[in-house]
Amino acid sequence: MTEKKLEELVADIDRETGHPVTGSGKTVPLLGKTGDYGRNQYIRFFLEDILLAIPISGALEISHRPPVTPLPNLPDWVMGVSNIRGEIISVVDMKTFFGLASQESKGHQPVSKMLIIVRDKEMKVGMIVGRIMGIFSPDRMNAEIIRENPYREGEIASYISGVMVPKGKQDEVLMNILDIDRLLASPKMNAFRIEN
Amino acid sequence: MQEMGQSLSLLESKITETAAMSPDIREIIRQISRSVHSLKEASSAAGLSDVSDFALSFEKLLRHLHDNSGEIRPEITALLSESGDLLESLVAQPQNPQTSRVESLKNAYTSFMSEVRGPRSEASSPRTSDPEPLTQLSIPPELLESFYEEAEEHLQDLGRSLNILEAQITAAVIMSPAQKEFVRQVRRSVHTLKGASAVVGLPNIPGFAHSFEDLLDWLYETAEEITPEIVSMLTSSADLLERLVARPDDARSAEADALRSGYRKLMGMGEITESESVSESESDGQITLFSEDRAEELPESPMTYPGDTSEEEILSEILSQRSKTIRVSMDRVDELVNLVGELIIALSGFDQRMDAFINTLSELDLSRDRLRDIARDMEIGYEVRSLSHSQAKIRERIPGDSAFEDFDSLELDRYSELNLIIRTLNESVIDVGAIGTNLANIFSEFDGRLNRQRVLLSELQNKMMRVRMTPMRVITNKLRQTLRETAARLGKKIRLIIEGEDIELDRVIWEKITDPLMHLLRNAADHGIEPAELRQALKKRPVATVKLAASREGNQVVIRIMDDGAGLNYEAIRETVRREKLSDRADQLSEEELAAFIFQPGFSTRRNISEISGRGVGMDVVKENIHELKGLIRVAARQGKGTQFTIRIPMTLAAVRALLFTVSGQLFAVALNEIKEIIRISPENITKEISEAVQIGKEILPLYYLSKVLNIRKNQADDPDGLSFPPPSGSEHPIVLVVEAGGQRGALVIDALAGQREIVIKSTGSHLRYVRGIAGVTIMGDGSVVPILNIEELFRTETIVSEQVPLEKLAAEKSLQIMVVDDSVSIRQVVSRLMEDQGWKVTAAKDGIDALERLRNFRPDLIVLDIEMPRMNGYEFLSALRAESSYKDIPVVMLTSRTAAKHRDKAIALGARGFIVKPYNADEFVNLVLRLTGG
Repeated sequence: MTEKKLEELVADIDRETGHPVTGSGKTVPLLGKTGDYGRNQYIRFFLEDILLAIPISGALEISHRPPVTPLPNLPDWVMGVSNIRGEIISVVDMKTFFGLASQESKGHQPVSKMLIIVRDKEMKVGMIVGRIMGIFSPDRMNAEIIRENPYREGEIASYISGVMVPKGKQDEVLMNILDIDRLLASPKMNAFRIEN
Repeated sequence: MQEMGQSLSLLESKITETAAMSPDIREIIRQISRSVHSLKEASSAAGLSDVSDFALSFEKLLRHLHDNSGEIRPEITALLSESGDLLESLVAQPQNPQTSRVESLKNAYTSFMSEVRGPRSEASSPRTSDPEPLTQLSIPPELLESFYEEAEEHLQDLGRSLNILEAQITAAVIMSPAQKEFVRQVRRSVHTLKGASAVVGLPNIPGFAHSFEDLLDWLYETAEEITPEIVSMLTSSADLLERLVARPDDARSAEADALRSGYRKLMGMGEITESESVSESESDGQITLFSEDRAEELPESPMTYPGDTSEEEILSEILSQRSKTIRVSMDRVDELVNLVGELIIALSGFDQRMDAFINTLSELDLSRDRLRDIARDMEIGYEVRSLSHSQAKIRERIPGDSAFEDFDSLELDRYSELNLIIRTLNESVIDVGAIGTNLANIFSEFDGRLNRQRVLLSELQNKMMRVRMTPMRVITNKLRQTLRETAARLGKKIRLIIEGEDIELDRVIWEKITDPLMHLLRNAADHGIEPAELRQALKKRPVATVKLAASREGNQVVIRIMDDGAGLNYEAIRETVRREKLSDRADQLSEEELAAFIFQPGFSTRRNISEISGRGVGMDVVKENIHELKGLIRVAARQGKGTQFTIRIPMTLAAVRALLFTVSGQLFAVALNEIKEIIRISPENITKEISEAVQIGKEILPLYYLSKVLNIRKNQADDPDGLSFPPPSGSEHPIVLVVEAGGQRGALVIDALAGQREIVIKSTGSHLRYVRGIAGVTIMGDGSVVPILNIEELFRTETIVSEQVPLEKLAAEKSLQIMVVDDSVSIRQVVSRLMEDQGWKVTAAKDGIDALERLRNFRPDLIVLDIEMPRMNGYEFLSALRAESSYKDIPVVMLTSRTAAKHRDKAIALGARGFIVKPYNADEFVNLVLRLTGG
């Protein structure tokens, strides 16, 4: 499994969705491609050494990490805000959000480079993630979704809705399905709606 | 009284023979009716029941005449004037009831009305003859208009939700959460409609809406299944509601009753419960109260009776008046405002280029001067040299022959060629000069035009703002009315004081905030203000006061609603929390935490539901509405003294003039109007005794390093442990901004100024709706994002119970010893800084073991403890601490990002005294520390 370049990703998404992706090679807008095509497809990415997947329908766009302006009085996992084509979108470091960044690595390791913008009906959030591994269709790959969360510990546990295992490929890394709705509805994410 | 007399005589003079009812006569009758009505109100308030009783009958007749009668005869005017006279004499001599005259007139009325009603009674509801008292609430048209706008919206929402339900439910099914949500939305719309219509004074709607709401309550709370039958009942109820809104005059009581019995059957209520019957009779009463139509006040309702042209005329008249204003969607106005913002930015870009232009022009001037000098030097130098040269030649030639004349001419030829060059050079200098002057002229013309643009643009901006801004006055009538009517209905005496009617806000904001404000006022009257007897017993003033005060603070509008009532009943809230199992530690909740519950959906301490309030559908909607405006609402209450709600609404200024500056290398902006002065200070004026302060002029101001205040993260890896915070950029004369917040002035140290410009304020996005100390962001020309600071808020220390305790004061009182135990360097730093800012001494430890070791050397007054740490975690440390008798009394505050009750409970079980969740509010944290240390 190799890391995909953004351009390859664009091609992937084109292929999977049957729509040519409009726009430059710099960002991949995904909105409006969530019809029948997007229903059962996932974007896979790494956070540290955990392979995560989010349904393509939950993602708005994928791009390289934009310049981020930090804001005061925010927890360390909110990196700040960014100007995404005129819209101000918050940028969240998922590694820190999940508490995956080890103490030693803080500030020393190269920061992840990719941005996935996710949204629910309330908000849009830009997630900074590690390598993006491309699009994945469980049907086509003959993978099965185990609707059970193997994680018991850690912040991330409560946001994993299931795990996918490709059949017959036992050596593959487990793919953890990140529940975007739960993530965006979590109290932690919603701490900025009002005072304090 | 006088008015009535005038109108009556006017009428008499006009009506000399039977005539068709013309609009102006109708208007006169309406005026008489209004006078009689107010007379009736006044007399009933004064206790003159005879007068009010007769006035009531008279008014009935007048209204009947106004609404139903197609013609008017002299007999009628005679009847009217006689009635007027009687009324007059009744008022003059209230002790003489003149019963016989009253009776005879009343009989005349009845016969007249039945006569007229005969052929056209179908227009009235079946209950017209009901002998219920007829009251008229005068509804100002602007109130009605806004009610209809609002109602339209709610009815649309309602319809939408019901449509979805209708589409989804084809057989009896268990309701999904989404479907419940739709039911809740419907309920909310119905509730709001009910409240609004009750306040406006429209008949029939509140009563029916109340029953409808009961059904929805039942559906949402009790029922599990939903059937197509229920949905169809909901839709027909919604339809009826819509019809009632369109024609409030038509009670449609048969339909309403049919639906009500349908509800009862559904809800399994064979008999009518106590409260139900009360509300039933109440609403029945209302049906009759207003069964006469009130066409003149209901411009929106399609009240035209066939053949009744005068009604149509009135209607079209009203419509033509209304067409002078148009409703434009907010988006379009926003687009325009944004465009103006963009224009301002574009213009400021032009300004910059103009500066460059003038600089280039002066450079051109300089070069031209230089060129001219060179040309002159050359000219003079050459002439002098050629002169001396030729003289030398002449001297040389003296001994020679005249053949040298040729040579001389040759030399002259060469001379003239150079001369030509010099002359061309000189001409070029003049040309360049002319071009320069030309350019300068063009520049000054540009500048003039640009200035004109700037003026126009700022005017445009002002006008754009004014399109949206209106003073609070536009809604205060509605608010007064709400309170008055609520008070009247509850039989309480309440005085409403409104301050700051001139405060301006976006019109849309006022519109959106009207509902919440009305709700808060109703609540204040119903829940807050005690009944008169109780007030008397408590020796409070018999007339209660509710105050609504609006003011501008910084770039916020603050609206406070205060009452001098009973305050929040914390125990009742606690009881409800316990009963509804809303918290597993109901007994330990503080008053602040309890107060927060009133904003929870469905929360109500009232068991009996009234039409005014108590359903619990209120406060959450209020909070939601205010949050939609990006505002805050807080409640503070003192038991027995009163309640205060504070609403803060940010002003939507699309563009402001702002100062840009850097702090720790990052660019920030502050609106210029928040800055009083910008100065450099000398180090000798800075004192560091209790907290840092600086003397500016004669004033001594507290000095803050903005980098510290903003907790700017050190992203540089080269200073991982630097607790020290040197004055930025090592400047000996730091630049400070003198600001004023909450009546206190302070000096903010910044690194460097980066200019001044018009900026467009944008929000911080859908996720970070509220960031403390940040008013918004702006996007620079290069696409970079610059935060705009909210100075006001950075320094505001308003705790939930609105006592303002300046932090500086607290700091001076006591020097605490705090131990901060946390494995994260940055948290140690930030917390230490916060504690040190209070003047406290801080010792940091990086984990439990480290902390225990340090404890041997000194005993802190309080320990701030993280949970997750290497070697020894917070829980382990807590148990170790509690095991040691000499340490066990040290209060411990847990500081963690774990919000789960499990973590909290565990910590409390182990003896932690406080629990602070990251990200914390600095003031609350400090207050907690003070509380726990007995400060």
